[in-house]
Amino acid sequence: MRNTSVPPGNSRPPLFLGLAVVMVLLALTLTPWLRQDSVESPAPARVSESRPPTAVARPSTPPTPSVPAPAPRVPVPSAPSVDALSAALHEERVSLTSSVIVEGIDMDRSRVCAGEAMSLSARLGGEPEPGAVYRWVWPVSDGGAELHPGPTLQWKAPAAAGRYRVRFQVCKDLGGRRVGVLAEREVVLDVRSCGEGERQQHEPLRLAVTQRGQGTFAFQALFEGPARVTAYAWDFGDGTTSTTTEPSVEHTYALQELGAQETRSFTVRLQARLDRGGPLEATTFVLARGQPPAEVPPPVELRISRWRPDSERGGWRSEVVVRAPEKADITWERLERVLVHWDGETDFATHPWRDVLQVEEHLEHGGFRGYVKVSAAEASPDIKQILDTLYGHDAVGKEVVVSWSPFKREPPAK
Amino acid sequence: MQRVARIAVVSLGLLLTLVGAPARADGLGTIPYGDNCWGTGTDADRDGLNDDCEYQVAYGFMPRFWFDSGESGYARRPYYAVKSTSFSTRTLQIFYMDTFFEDTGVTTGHDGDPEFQILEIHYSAGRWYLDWAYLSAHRKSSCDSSAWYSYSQLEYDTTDTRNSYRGWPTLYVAEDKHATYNNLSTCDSGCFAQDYCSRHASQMLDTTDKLVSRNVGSTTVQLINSVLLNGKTERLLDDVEFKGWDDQWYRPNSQGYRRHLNDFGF
Repeated sequence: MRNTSVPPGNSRPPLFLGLAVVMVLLALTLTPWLRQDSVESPAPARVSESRPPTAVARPSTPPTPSVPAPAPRVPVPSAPSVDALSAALHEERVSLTSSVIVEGIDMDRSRVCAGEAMSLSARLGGEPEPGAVYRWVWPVSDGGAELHPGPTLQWKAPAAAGRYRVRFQVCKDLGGRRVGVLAEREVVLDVRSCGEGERQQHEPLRLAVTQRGQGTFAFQALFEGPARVTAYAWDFGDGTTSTTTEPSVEHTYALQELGAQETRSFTVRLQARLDRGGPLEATTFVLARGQPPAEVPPPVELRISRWRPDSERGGWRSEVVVRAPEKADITWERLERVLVHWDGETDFATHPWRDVLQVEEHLEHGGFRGYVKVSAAEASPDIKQILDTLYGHDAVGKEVVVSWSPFKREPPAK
Repeated sequence: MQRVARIAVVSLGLLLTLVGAPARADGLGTIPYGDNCWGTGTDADRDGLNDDCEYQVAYGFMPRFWFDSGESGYARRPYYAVKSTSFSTRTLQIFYMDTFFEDTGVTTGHDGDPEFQILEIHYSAGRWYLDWAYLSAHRKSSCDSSAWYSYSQLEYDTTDTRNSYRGWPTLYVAEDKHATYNNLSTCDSGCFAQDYCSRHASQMLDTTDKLVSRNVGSTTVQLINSVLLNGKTERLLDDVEFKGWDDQWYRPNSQGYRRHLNDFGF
């Protein structure tokens, strides 16, 4: 077996007192140096600048996907040679010819406050190279270099204002520590000293993203300001747009065309239209990734909404859409309902399927659109969850089974 | 006197800085390998990665699970495999085979439950970072809810001082059925809302053996395949049923890990 040592455990001795003693000793050492330094050194250099425009109070045009114009009073550090970067990464660089090109670098903001993060995303063109990988590399203060894989980068700005170089590369492994570089592009990032009110948490419009499954994302606009938002205009970056009055929206990206494990970045732009003043904008990047396809497609395509109170009949209802494949000609027969109690006990019942499912529209090949009903008695407080299984058979007599949950309760608070 | 006061002030400042420690570096700094994970040491599975590095990263990033109060199938004996994705990006993938002994779901019960997670991590300047997690959730079934999640869509238990944002993730395990999700909300909608998760009991993937001697190698260079336990043998890497070291007559067995390992190139 090749597994050798076990990492040390998580024991952390109570060190507070010892730490205090060490700090006093360290302070004894440092104090003379600090005192001398404070007398002889000039005040730390600060970049004098006007307040940068916030990333969101921008005109209604899309964010500029380009490098920001250089700030005249902030010198750009000389670029380390690509060989120096390779040396810092302890690798051998080999420049390769390729048809792939880096068309540009998109950013979620044109500048960033010291210590905060900004997002970058590379746009590629030309012919894709099989086996190519993407990475970002940038020098750090101790002569080393940082590296991050993928087409996007959330870059954390250093604590010191200045201009920093980050390089995007399309690479190929050449064996050993040899790295072939097929294409690359460098950006210079503008890091500013910011007052407290200029930090990202104070921007009037921000965009939060939560993933809800493969390719499905919930977006939430976070607006703070005296005006009223009349509409939210969403551009999901895949050619799909939407306008809502609510500050939240869910979107599913079609990822079928992505290869297994292939990643793609989508640039999501939000415009909040206000009842007074110009619109606000926010941008974020969403990363999605393909997965190996299922060899056997499911027998039907099912969509079911989350249950909601049934104002007409009482109880609960969930919208259901079942789409059957061509030539399936499914005949539905029965629905088995399981009531799961909090203690794990279960009650089973079998119903004629039309007793539980209200069909509003018949679709082709046995599909339908309608809703499933749960009575108030079924969803009593001692029920944790209800499970439905719908049974039928297709044109050749093969059993077709589809299941869902039309109701469940939140777990009790601990 | 002034000097004493200055020492006191500086001491207090340093102490508060360390004790308060509001900012913690991302990723894991506890793994004793960097890019020497590639091309050094022994390499039993001939994948270009140091064997001990494979173990250290698998142990270091081993996920923490939240189980629901109704969970009745905690038993498992996890294994793992590691492969290099690219030296250029210092990236590798860890395939965690949960090997739950059974799915005790009300309508889905079966012996052997081959759910799994793939974590993709990279090394940079002294630390390892989680980039992606593929969380299986009834993969290849009619309610397949498996998905890739980027690091920003995962949760991290940072009450453990060794862990940080982009360290080992906290995942949510569906009651009895062991599909895994990035958060409670995703679990709530998983498998057409049939999956149920909550924060009832928290456990690391391997609660007892810390994954020691659990590297299966790969499908082509097999370090562990047949595992005898309780008088029963499972073949983890072969294209055979996975019975969870059990084989009850009254319920079906699951298909094994091989098809998933094949799909992801392990």
